[in-house]
Amino acid sequence: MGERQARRGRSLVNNPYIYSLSLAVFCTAWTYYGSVGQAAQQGIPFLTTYLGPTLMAPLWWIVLRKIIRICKVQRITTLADFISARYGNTIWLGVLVTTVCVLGILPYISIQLKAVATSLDILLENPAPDKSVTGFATDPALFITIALAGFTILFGTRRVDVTERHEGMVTAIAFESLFKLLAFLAVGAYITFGIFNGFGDIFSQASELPSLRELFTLDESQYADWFWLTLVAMFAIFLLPRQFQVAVKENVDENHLRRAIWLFPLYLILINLFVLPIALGGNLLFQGQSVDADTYVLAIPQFFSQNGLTLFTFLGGLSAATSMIIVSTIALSTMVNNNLLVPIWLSGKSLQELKRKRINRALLNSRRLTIIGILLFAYLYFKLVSGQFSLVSIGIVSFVAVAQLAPATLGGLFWKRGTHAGAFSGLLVGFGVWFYTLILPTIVQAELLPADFLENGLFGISALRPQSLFGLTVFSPLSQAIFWSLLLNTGCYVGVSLCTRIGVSERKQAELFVDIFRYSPRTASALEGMKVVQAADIQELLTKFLGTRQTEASLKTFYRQYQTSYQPKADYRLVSYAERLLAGVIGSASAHVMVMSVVRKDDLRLEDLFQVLDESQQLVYANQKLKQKSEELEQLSHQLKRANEELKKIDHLKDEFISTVTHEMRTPITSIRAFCEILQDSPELSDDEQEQFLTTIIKETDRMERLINQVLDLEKFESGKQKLNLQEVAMNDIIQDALKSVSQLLKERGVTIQVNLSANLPPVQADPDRLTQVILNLISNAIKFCDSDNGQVRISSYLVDGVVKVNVLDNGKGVPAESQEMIFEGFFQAHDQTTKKPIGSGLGLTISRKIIEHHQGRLWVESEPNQGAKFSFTLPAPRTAKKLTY
Amino acid sequence: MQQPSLKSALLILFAVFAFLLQFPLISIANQEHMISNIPQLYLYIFGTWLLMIVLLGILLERNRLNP
Repeated sequence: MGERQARRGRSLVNNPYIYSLSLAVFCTAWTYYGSVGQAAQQGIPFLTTYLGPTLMAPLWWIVLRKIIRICKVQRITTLADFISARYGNTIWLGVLVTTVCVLGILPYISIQLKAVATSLDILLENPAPDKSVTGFATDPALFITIALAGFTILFGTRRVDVTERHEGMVTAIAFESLFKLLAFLAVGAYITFGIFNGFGDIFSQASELPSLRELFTLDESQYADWFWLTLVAMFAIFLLPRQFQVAVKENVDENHLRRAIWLFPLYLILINLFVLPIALGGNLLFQGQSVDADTYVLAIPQFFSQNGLTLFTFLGGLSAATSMIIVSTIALSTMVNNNLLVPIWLSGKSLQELKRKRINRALLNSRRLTIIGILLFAYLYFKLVSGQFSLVSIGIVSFVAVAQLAPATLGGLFWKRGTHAGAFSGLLVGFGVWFYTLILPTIVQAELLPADFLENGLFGISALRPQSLFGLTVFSPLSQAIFWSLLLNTGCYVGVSLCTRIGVSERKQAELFVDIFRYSPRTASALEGMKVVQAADIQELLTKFLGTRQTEASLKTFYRQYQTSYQPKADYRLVSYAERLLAGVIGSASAHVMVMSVVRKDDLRLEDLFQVLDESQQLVYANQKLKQKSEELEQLSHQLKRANEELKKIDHLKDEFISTVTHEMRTPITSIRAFCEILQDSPELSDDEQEQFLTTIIKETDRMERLINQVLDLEKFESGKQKLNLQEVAMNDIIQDALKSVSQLLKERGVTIQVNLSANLPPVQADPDRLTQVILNLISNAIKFCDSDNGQVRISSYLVDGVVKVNVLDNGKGVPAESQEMIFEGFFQAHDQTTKKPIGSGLGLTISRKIIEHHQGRLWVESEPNQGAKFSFTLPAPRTAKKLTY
Repeated sequence: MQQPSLKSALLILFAVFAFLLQFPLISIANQEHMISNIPQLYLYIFGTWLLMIVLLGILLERNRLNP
């Protein structure tokens, strides 16, 4: 019924309280009866079994949550699957883990059977059973075992469920946990407050007996046990197959863990509250009688003829035992099926052979047989061995067995370097040591092996004595067993892992496990299994294991979920989906094998896929680089174009320049030649005339020289090779000097000159020769172009806006507006045909401007037609004018 | 000071109580002394246990946010 409700939206099980209570399946007949027995004999140490899980609880958020997530993503259903999947999905590791679990848990199941049988005896007030092996046919315990087997089969194997979830069972267990807690609290309260007068009374009465008083404290020799047993219990709480089942596989919502982390320890503390009082009470009441302390819980109320309470207590214990048996057996049978039977069975068969059998039915039957087998073996162990030991001493043996799975599991969760070989060897060694140190001695004590083996060790080698292996005597036999098995296990796991290589699929799994929280469930499950295969084959495979109806339903779900429709070629999502479905039925290792067997020749192996991914990644990267380069090239070509334009312009200019220069040069050469020819051809020329001609020739050569110098000068300025000899220079001094040198010319021309030089001009940084050149140029221009009759030239200098400005004015015709820039550009001369041949070369202003510009100044002209021209230049006045003030 | 994450807080809790409930710290309470007729060690263990549960409860029920 719980399952039908579950299908209607999981309202019942999707509840953190149910989840937390279901974890209490941890408390079995061991807790119910065995703890009291242990407390009665040893005192406080019984608490290690419960303090371990309590201490582990805060770590569940890290460890258990990770396990749950991984199992959800990879559809892992058992611990054997988990470990085998982590280390590369091999068959052998699964086999080993299953063997360890089955052999380890058989004793545990056997003590439940023992508890049920014994408590039934007490309830029915049967005489104490003979401890030797009785006839099987009349043994009530056998009937109980068979009944339980039937019950378990009913509960756990009604159909091959792909999710393997048993919601009805979980709910039942949750309620059973509540029931057994209440029953135990009831009997505990009755004994403590009904028979005695409260905690104080029991303890003070007990303290009067030294044998009982020593139960209140830990003996120094018990510290080691205290530690090792707590550690082992910490591992057991999540590694026991039944705990894995309820805590991991049956988990509906990770967040339920939050509640469970504190609720479960609360449960534990409550159920342990009365244990020591009951134990002491029993010891006090049954002093001198041979009542088995394991039975105090039931024996005491019965002693006081509390029949109702006795029955209630019995039922509590019965429920505790049966829930353990059912859940454990289901978990174990699933493991055996998926990791032992199915692989062996499939190993010899091909797909063709499988077609002829009805696998579905066969799987169910094999599971049922496994359940029966496990329970029968547990019964045998009970009869042969457990009968002679206390419940807890056998129970702890099981704890140590499952603790051997801890290195491989915890390593698998947090250490990517763990390899298959490491896990296998570690587990094998640990299991071997466990068997040797804990199982064999019990078999000896059951008189099935000679006793001197215990005393003298294997083959008489004392270092191989099972209870003090390698001569270690500081620990009790139990502690040393735990110590050696875990030490050698972990040592092998780490050592062998470091010495072996990791396979590709192992590495992938290691990634997926250790980094599970980095991947969303979708990504993680999509990364699994990438193969190229036909959809029809997948469907056929699924039908074989799930039946037609289920396969169709599952496929419909798949297509809906991924919003695609049927395609002949199954994409990787379908394949991994199918693999996961199969894993729920036959275990992940076998599912993997089956899917692989369906794959055709043109399959894509994982390595290939990674390579393809790698290559395409490289392609993308290369593409990006190419884009970058082409952008850079575009930029470069733009720049080249522009540079080309510039060069063309300059080339053009250069051509003009050359033609102009050559033209300019030709003119004086022509004159010179003309005059020379005249001199040569006309000897009758007078001396004066000759004198005149020669003077002209000299003048022309001067002119040419000047021109050439100017061109050279200009070239130097253009090419930047011009070096200025910068000094501190007083502008007015330069002007005065220049005026001196043109004074002759002024007189000749009859030009009047006006000089207005500002007195406090700061010095400028300038090349004095060049500056002189500029001023001379401007003044001589002014003289040349001023009015011919009444020539006036004015020079002024002053400081304005932080620069030194010099003006040279003349009263000539002026410079027309359109020529005002061009006059500074080399060889320009006003195209005025009425002027005589040029008086100076046209490069003067060009060079002047260049000079001024090289001094960080400006040179320009302002002029109106027929109102003369005003040539101005500025030079920066240095800011750090040295003021000589002290 | 930064608020520790739930994970860190749980780790710290684990470490603290692991130490409190093991040798050598537990040896402090391990005396044959009775406090109102209840053995000291018994009280110590159960008291510490209860304290741990309470702290876990507070931590987990308050911290509904991120792990």
